[in-house]
Amino acid sequence: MNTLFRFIVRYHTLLLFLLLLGLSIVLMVRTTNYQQSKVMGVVSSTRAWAYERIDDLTTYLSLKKENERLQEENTLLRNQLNHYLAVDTLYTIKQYDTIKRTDYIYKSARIVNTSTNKVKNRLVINVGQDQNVGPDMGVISSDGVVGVVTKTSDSYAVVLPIINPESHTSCRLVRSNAEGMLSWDAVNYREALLTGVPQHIDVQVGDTIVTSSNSNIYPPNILVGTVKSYEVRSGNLYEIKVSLSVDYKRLRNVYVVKSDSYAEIDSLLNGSER
Amino acid sequence: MNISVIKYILLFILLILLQEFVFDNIQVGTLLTPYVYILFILILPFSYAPSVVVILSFLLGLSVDFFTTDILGLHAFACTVIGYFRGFVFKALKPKDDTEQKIATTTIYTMGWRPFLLYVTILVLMHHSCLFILETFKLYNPLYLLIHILLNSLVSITFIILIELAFFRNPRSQS
Repeated sequence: MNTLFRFIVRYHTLLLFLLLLGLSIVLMVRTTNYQQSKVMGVVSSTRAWAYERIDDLTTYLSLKKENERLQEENTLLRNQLNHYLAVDTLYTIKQYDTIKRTDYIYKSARIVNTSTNKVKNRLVINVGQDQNVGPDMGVISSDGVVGVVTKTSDSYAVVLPIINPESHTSCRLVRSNAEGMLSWDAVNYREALLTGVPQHIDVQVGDTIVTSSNSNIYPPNILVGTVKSYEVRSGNLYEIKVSLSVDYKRLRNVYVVKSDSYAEIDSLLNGSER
Repeated sequence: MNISVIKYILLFILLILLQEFVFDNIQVGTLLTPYVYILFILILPFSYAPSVVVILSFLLGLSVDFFTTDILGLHAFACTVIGYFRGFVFKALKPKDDTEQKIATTTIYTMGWRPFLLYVTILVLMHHSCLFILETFKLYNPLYLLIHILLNSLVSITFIILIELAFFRNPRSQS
């Protein structure tokens, strides 16, 4: 017993060091598992609240640019609307399609916190359960696809952006109609990798990449980015470097997309797995 | 309470706030961020017991985790490691004539340029290696990881030295 005490006293710094290392490892393992849960903890909500207060202060700095962007988007939407209004002026009978529902509902939100310098990046937006925002809803902006909602609290939500290795988005090359999977390699926050496109498909630098209709989180044909470079990797598949259309550092206003069919498709898929 | 204890508590809080609101928003190149808060561990006086330094390092890392990452324990791990090895690195680097433990804290002026730079470099490399290896646990790209560690260490060391030069006065020039 005496020797044990002497051992502890002698090596107390080393023992303390090992204990604290163990504690940090336990914390790391626990929080990464905790991330799987869909609800944000009290700590994260408080943090999100603090982020929003800070963002309230800094938002004025980028007000002018943001207004210009919204103006641009308005012009685009107005032109599209004009197109729809101009179609079929002779045929004036209105028909309401009662069977088909509106597929997607958009909700505007503001980003209160962004990280682009980590490996596991994430965004925080100022809508949550109170605004009927839940996990697995897509987030897009006027520039293109942003990410997926992963966790929510009463009035905030955490978004998993494309620039996180855990994020996988199914995409389509517009010109060749080939489908691929977009993921991030943690190198550059303006670039991502598109994999799974077979070698026989004609890919060119500058090709536009949009969301595929396979993804039931995002609406189809939302801009993702353009092909920056490509090379053949792992046998006969391309590895395409995509420059993302969204600049996460400048992003402020986004839309949360609620897909009406998502829950149905999801339950169908999960049911068939069993 | 000792005045220096209050000074270090204030420094602790100040460095965490700076890391959260200033340095975490600085991005050199694409993914390089200066981690300046470890300056606190580097300059803690050597009169403090090693166990106290280890505990303080752990608390510092945990606080930074709490504010800047989603993974608790990431910075805590890296900080605990350098908090423990700080003493050994210092012992290996300190000038031979310092038999009476004249060096109370490590600054450029008390240690001299070369030993101080080495001291900072070794500890920053240690910290960043722990941090990035743990963060990119699932990504198997060792060459990129190595370059990332080296470049980010360079950025952090530059910022730490700049802060030292800006805020720590030469005690000899004062007298």
